[in-house]
Amino acid sequence: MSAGPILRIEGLGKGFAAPRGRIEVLHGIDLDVAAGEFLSILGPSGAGKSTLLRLVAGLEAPDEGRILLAGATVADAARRLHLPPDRRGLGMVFQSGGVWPHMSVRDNVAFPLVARARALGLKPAEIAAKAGEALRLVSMAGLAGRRAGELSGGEKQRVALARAVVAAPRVVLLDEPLASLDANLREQMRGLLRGLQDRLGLSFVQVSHDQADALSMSHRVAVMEAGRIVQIGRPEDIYRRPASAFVATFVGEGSLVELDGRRLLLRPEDIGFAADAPADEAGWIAGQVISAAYLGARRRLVVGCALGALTVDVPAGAEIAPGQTCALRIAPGSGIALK
Amino acid sequence: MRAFLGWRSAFLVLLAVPALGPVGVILAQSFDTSGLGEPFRFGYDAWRAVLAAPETLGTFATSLLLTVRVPVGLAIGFAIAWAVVRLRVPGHQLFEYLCWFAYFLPTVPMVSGWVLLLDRDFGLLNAAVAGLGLPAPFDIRSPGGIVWVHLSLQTVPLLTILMIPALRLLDRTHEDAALVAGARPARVLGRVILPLVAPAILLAGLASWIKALEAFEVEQLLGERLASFVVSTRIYGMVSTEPPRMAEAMALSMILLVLLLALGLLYSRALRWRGQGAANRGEQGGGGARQSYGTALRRAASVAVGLYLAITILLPFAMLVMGSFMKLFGFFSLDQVWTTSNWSRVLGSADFGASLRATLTLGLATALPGALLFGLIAAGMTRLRGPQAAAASVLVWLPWAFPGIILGVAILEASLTLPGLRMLHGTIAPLILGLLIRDLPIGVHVMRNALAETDSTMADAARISGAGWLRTFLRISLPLQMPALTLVFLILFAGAIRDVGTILLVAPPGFQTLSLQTFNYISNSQFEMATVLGTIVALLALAVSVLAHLLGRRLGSVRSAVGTRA
Repeated sequence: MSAGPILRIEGLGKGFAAPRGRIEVLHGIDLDVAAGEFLSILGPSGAGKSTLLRLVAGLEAPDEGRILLAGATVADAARRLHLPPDRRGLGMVFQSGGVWPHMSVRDNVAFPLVARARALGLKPAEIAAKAGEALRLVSMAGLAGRRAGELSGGEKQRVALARAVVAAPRVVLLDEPLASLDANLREQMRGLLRGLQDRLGLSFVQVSHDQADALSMSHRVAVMEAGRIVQIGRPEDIYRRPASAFVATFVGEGSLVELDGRRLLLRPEDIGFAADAPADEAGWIAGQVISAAYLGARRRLVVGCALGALTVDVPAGAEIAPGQTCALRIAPGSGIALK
Repeated sequence: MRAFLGWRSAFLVLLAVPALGPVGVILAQSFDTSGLGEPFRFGYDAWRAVLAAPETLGTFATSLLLTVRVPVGLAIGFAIAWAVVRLRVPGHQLFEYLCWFAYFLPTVPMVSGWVLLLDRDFGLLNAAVAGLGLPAPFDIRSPGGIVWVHLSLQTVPLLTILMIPALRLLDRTHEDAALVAGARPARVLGRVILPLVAPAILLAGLASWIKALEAFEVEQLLGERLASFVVSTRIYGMVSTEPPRMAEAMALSMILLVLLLALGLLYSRALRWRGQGAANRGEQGGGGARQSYGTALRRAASVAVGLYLAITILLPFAMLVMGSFMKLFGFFSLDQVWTTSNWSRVLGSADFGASLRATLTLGLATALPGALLFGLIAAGMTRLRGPQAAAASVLVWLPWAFPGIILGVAILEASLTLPGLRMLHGTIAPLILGLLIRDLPIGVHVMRNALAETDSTMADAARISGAGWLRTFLRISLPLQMPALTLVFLILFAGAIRDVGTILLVAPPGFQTLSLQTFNYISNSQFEMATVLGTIVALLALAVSVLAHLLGRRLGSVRSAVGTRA
C-alpha cells in the first residue's frame, strides 16, 4: 500500500425528493482512500452506502461537497461540476453483476478497453490480449466465447470483476459484489477479490452490509449509520474498539452490560461458560440458558444472569438445552468500555 | 450541470410540440370566422352555433351512453384474463393469442363480417330466426349493434390484453396463502385477486373509456341511419360538407378534447398511482395456483372462454372471408352464390397495386422512425427527475386523448395554414406525423416499461467502463431493448395499415391505403370488394399479430401497455 489518497471525499451530502418532502441520505461525508488500499464501507440497509458509491462513480451528482480522484476534482457541488462516469477512469462491480447478456464473455471484458481505445492508444490485438489476461486472472478464459447470459451467478461476478479491472482503473468500486452468491461461492470470491487486489495493487472500495465480507478482506473499514461515517479504522480496531454502541452491536456479536458503573460490550469470546461450576466460586455468576442455537462449528447460547441476557459461544458438541442452569465467568480486563 | 438542464428543457419543449400543438391549432381555428382561403378573423360565431345547436347535447349524451360497453368489457375481459393466467385453463395460450389477433385486426372490414351475420334484412342469424317464424331479433345498424361490434372486436380483447400482465405479475403467494387457508376459488377471486389488481383494472377501464369516447369508424359505418349521432361522426359531417364548417368542427372538437384531456390527466395520475402501489409484484409471480382450482372448474372455464372468443372473433372473421367469395354480398338465395371474381377483380386492378404500395409505404415510413424515436424519448425520460419527469409523463400521455378524426383535422389545418408545414401539404408526411402523434403514448409507454424492467446497472456498467451516452445507447441499451423496439415497430405498423380516422382527411389525392379503400367501398355499400381488401389487411394483421404475440411472451409485462382502441 502506498501513501497519498487516490480518492478524497470532502463534506459530501446528497438528498432525494420523496412524495412527502425531501430525504437526506448523506450528511457531510469525509473519506480518504489510499492508493492500493482495500476499503470497505459497512452499514445497515438505508445507511447511504450505495448512494455514496454511486456518487463516486458519477451515477449521481452530489448536493454538497466534492470528490477528488488522484488529486483531480471530478465532482464539486459548489461549482456545479459533475464529470460523467465514463470520464472518471473507474471500474465497478454491481450486486447483480451488470454483465451484458447479449455479448460474449470476451466482449464484456474487452468493452472498457474498446470504449477507451483511443484515449489509451490501444490496438485490437492489444485489447484482445488484455481481455484474455483479465479473464485468466479470474479463471474464466475457458468461457471467453460463451454468451454472458448463459453463465451462472458466480461466473457472472467473475466476468464483472475482470471487466472492472481490465483497464487498470484508478479505483475499483464494488457494490455488494457477493450479496447474491451462496456461502461457498462467497468464500471463493472473497479470496479471489483479495488476491486480485494484492496482485494488481489497485484501490478497491467495497460497499457491504455483511460484516464478514468487510472484516475479512479490507485494510480499513468505514462504518456508516444514517448517512454518516461513524467510525473508520482497521478491522481489528472496529471490532475490538468500537466507537459507539451502534458500531459495537452492528459489527460482531456482543452483549451490552452495566458493570461497576461502566457500560461494557462483552463479546461471546470474553465470557467463560461452565455447565456445572459452583455458583458460589469467586468470579462465577449463576445463570440459566434462555436459548441455544446450533451453528455448525459452535453453539450460540443466550444466558440470563444478574447482568442481563448475555450471548455466549460454546463448542458445538456441548449438549445444552434451554432452561438448564449454568455459570458464567467474565475474564478480568475483558469487555469493551463504551462511551 | 447547466448543460444537463439545457438538454432537459429542450427535450420537454420537443415533447410539448406534438402534445400541445394539435390543441393549439384546434383552439385557434375554432375562433376563426373567416371564409375558405381568407386570412384569420377572430370571432365567437362557431362557438355560438355549436352551443346553440340542440343536437350538441344529444350527441354528447349518445357518445357517453355508448361507453356502457366499457364496464361490460371490463367484466368479460377480467374473467378471460383470470381464466388464462390464474386458472391456466386448457388452451390458455391460444386464447391469449386470439385476443392479440383481434387487437391487430382491422376494424372496418370486420364490420362487414358482422353485417353478414346481423343485418336486419339479410343477416344469416336473423334469417335463421325468421325461418322459425319469429321476427328478426338483431339490428347491426343500431346503438346496440354498434356496442356489440365494439365489444366483440375491440373492447374485450384490448381489456383482456391489458389485464393479463397485471394478473401475471401478481405474487403467487397471495393466492396460495388464501387457498391453503381454505378459501374457495370464488372467495380467492373476490377477496384476494380482485382487490390486489384493482388499480390495474381501473387503469385499463379509464384507458378504454377515453378511447370509447373517441371511436369513429364503426359509428360512421353503422350509424348512417342515425345521422351525426355521436360527436366524432358529427365532426366528420361538418368537415366533409361543402363548404366545410371547419370552425364549428373545431369548436365541437375542443369541447370533446376538454372532456378527454381531463380523463387523460386522470389516467396519467392513475398510472403513477399504480406505479406506487406495485407491491403486489413479487418473485413468485408467473404461473397461477392452477392445480389447486380443480379440473372441472378449469375445463368449464376453458369451454366458456373458447366459445366466447370463437363467436366474437373467429365467426365474424370467417364471415369476412366468406363474404369476399359472394357474388352479391348478403344474398344467399341466388342460384350461384359463390364466385372468385371479386378476388380476381381486386387483385387485377391497378388500384390494388397502388393501395398495397401505399399501405406498406405508410406502415414502414411510420413504424421505422417511430420505433427509434419512441425508444429515444423513453430513454430520455429515464434521465428526468422530479417536476420535469412529471411534466414529460403528462405530455407523452396527452395525445391518448386525441380522437383520430380530430387529430386529422388539426393536422389538415396546420398543413394548410402554418407556413413551415405548408410544404408538407399534399405529401404523406402529415399522415405519418398524425399517426406518430396518435401512437406516441403507447409507443413510449412500451419502451419505458421495457427500460424499467431492464437492470439499470447494465447501462451504468457501460458508463463506468468509459462509454459515452451514445455508445451506451447503441451498444448496450438498444440491443437489450431490441424485442421491445420490434414490438413497438409492429404496433405502429399494424396501427398505420389499419387506420382510417386519423388519415381520412389528410391523405393526399391519389394516396389510398387498403384500409381507406375498404372504408370507401363499405361507405358505398360495395361490400364484395371491401371484404376482399379487408381479408388481405386481416391476413397482414394475422402475420403481425403472430410476431407480436411471440415478442409479447418474451417481454412479459410490456404487453400491459399495448392497446390503442377500445
